[in-house]
Amino acid sequence: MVKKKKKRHLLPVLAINGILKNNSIYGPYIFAGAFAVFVFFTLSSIIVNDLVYTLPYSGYIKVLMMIGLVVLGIILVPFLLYTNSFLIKQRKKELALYTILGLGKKHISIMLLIETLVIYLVVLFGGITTGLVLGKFMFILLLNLSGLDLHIQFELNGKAFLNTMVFFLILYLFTLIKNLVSVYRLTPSELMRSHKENDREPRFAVLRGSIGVIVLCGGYWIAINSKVDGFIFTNFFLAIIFVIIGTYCIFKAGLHVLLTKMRKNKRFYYKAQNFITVSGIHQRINKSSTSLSNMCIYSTMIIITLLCTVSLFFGMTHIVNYRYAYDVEMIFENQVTSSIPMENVKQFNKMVYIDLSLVQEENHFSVSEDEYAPKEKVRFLTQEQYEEFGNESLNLEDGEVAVFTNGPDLNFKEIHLGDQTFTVTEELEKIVGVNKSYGNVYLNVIYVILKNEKMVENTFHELGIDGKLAYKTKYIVMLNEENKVETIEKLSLWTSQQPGMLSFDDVISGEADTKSMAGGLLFLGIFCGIVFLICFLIIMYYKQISEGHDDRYNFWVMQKVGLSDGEVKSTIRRQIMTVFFIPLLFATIHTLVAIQMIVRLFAVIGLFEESVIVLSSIGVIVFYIFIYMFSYLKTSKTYYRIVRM
Amino acid sequence: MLLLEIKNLDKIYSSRLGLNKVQALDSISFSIEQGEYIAVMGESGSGKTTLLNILATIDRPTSGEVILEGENILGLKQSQLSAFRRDNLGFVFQDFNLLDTLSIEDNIYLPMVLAGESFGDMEERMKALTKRLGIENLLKKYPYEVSGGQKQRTAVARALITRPKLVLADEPTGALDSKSSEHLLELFSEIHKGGQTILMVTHSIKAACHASRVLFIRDGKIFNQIYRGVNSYEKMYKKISETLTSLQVGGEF
Ligand SMILES: Nc1ncnc2c1ncn2[C@@H]1O[C@H](COP(=O)(O)OP(=O)(O)OP(=O)(O)O)[C@@H](O)[C@H]1O
Ligand SMILES: [Mg+2]
Repeated sequence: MVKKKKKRHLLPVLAINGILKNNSIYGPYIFAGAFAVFVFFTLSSIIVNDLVYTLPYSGYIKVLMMIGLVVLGIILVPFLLYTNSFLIKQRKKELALYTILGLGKKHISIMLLIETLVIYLVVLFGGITTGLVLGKFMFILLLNLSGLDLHIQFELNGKAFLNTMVFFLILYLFTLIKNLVSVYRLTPSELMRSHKENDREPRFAVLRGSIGVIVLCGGYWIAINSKVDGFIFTNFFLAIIFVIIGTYCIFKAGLHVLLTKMRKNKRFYYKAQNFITVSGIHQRINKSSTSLSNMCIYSTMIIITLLCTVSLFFGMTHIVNYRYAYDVEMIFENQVTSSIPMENVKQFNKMVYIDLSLVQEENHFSVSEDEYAPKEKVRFLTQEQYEEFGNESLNLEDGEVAVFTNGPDLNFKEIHLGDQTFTVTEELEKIVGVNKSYGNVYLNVIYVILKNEKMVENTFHELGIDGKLAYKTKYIVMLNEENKVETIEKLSLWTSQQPGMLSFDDVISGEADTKSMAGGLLFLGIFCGIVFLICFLIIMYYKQISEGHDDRYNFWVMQKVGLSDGEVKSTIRRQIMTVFFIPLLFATIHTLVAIQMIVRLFAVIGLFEESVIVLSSIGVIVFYIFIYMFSYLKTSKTYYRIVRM
Repeated sequence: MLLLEIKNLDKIYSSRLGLNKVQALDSISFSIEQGEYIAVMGESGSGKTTLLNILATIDRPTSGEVILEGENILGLKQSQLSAFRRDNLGFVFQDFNLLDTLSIEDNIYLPMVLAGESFGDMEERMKALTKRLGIENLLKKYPYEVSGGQKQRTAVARALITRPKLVLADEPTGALDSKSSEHLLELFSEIHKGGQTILMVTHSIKAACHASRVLFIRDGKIFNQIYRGVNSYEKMYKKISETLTSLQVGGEF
């Protein structure tokens, strides 16, 4: 009885001791957890803060924070499982000792339960406390980046607490279950086993590698070729999955094939440094390739997150400048005759036109009943309307058209509208009040200018559209700088009082809108970037620790047999350098491919300036190479220390 | 011909603060002739491993000299030591110290690879050695796939492949069953007959009986030595056990 009681008291002590004694590996694990809680808690606090949505232009924030939360959740699961498996492996010996000293598996399970609970509580407490202290600043940062009103309070909300608590509880329960399963599976002798068997050689390495290459190329193909349409996110997701799977396969098989080749080349293999390095990596090929793949994947995520953030930051003005070639745009149904209030107006243009959504095949345009068929926006106007808008005269004849698009050039010699064929006399370089960008592939509008209204009517008849022509009238207005805001408000009021008002858009609200979206993205980018970076650093750090422990004995023996201290050092350096660049190299290639997709996605939100994205990418990649090298050098100190203990 | 001369070796281990001092070796002097097979015996803690480590240049004495073929090896610089070790010495350890990362074959090559020898030379020597040691069929296996005796024979092959002037062995039979021990000792005798100089630390009287000379150490000092000479195995065995008893009895006073 007494004994049993003692044992029970002992378990929490052992559990806490287990964490404290291994603080060099549990420390980072707990820190990462706490940081994740902090970010998660802050994001949920923002999401559940209803006040935010009372702000103008805050529509994007909720969606973006939700996306951030989901991404964070998805990333944390594999990360925690991976680091957790590393932790439990490091502690197997200790656990085995406990079983031999008389703790049953039940007791060990209880101990692990207590341990997980303690970690969970510490992480939760640390993260939420940080959240409470810094949340306010985070919130202000978000509002600031998004250009939103700063007077709103950061509210504490029970729901955010609850969400965070439940999500991380599930996460840590998951790791606990995994640990329990692995403890139940193992016998003490297995736990205790002093020698480490080499990893089994990957079977079908060549086949596996080829599959990896195919899958990776598939992922690349999707990324490069997928169009921005309803499937874009499915495609995006598929591409990511393919690339991840491909990376794992290629790293494993590739490393194996490479090392086998090296081993076969006896003149190369039986050189002191190569000998130790090659056999060392080959021994733990599974572990090595997994951690290298992880490093590669996380590196890619970090680079891409940073890249998007930076591009957006520098691209924001491009987005606004492209969209707003004017200060105010007003659109009405029908042809409007009444004139706008002219107070403070520097200049205005009026355009009357008809918009159609047509199916495009090269230079053939036709009407389709199919709602889901991809359609292009085609804007028809007469020569007269075109000139009235403030453009130079065209002198079109019957059967002739002039075209324009705000996207990449059309280069049509002729154009087919239904069964009618028109000669394209001119592709216009510009139209007043519309900006052209060659990067605008998705938001582009094709302008077709016909001779006169009769031609328009004929054409529409041929296309199968009869009845009254659905004209729209658009005003674009340039304002004087002073009292701009008030003038815009007056114009807005005036517009809303006109019959047939369709839309009102102005540069100031457009800027605010863009800023709130971009600001939200920036905020997410910064925090997700930091979380990924922490994950990456910990994976790298754990890799060095576990390899240090693996190699320590080997170096010890080799020193006895006659390897000098200097040779030990140079061998270690060699070993580190051999695999140093692989994840970085692949991460860079992944990024270069992903840029294709990013350019397209950014085009959707109106960032067509590819040079911004390209320059940001170069900057971010260079910056990341430094971070990578720096952290590799720093963490390899740990390796040295362990190996040469 | 004189191979190794050990003069007045002292080794004092002191704790970090210098409060506790242990005299592990106390003015030990002896010499080893070329081709001798010496067994070192003594109680646990008497300083055998310490002595071996000093000869192996893994550890340094507090004072004294170790002279190999006229050269004082304690005068070697730290950077020269590892080269010295792999050129002149071969080691066999109680717990084998084989690398699990390397196949049996590669484990044997290790010292030669470290010395930067060409693969052709290594392969030739390895083939001859492994055949003699009876492990030629295990070359592609890994240490964790073979028995303890086979591991130790691998370790012997690794010690011999550099053709060292002196083989140092610390309780090489310690982790083996009696049959494997017997086999290994026969192997040592055979190598010795081939002209190899060997210094072996052992607790086993049987093992010591194979040696041409047995040194007894007590409290860091040489207590006695017995030459095999023309003694029969039984006589040798008796002499050694008598000496060990007197070592113990002496220790009790
Ligand atoms: N690194 C060390 N630091 C301090 N004292 C040591 C150290 N190594 C050995 N000693 C002490 O020196 C003495 C001799 O130790 P040594 O290992 O040489 O004994 P041994 O004869 O090999 O014993 P065994 O037969 O048990 O292996 C012992 O009292 C031991 O405690
Ligand atoms: Mg000893």
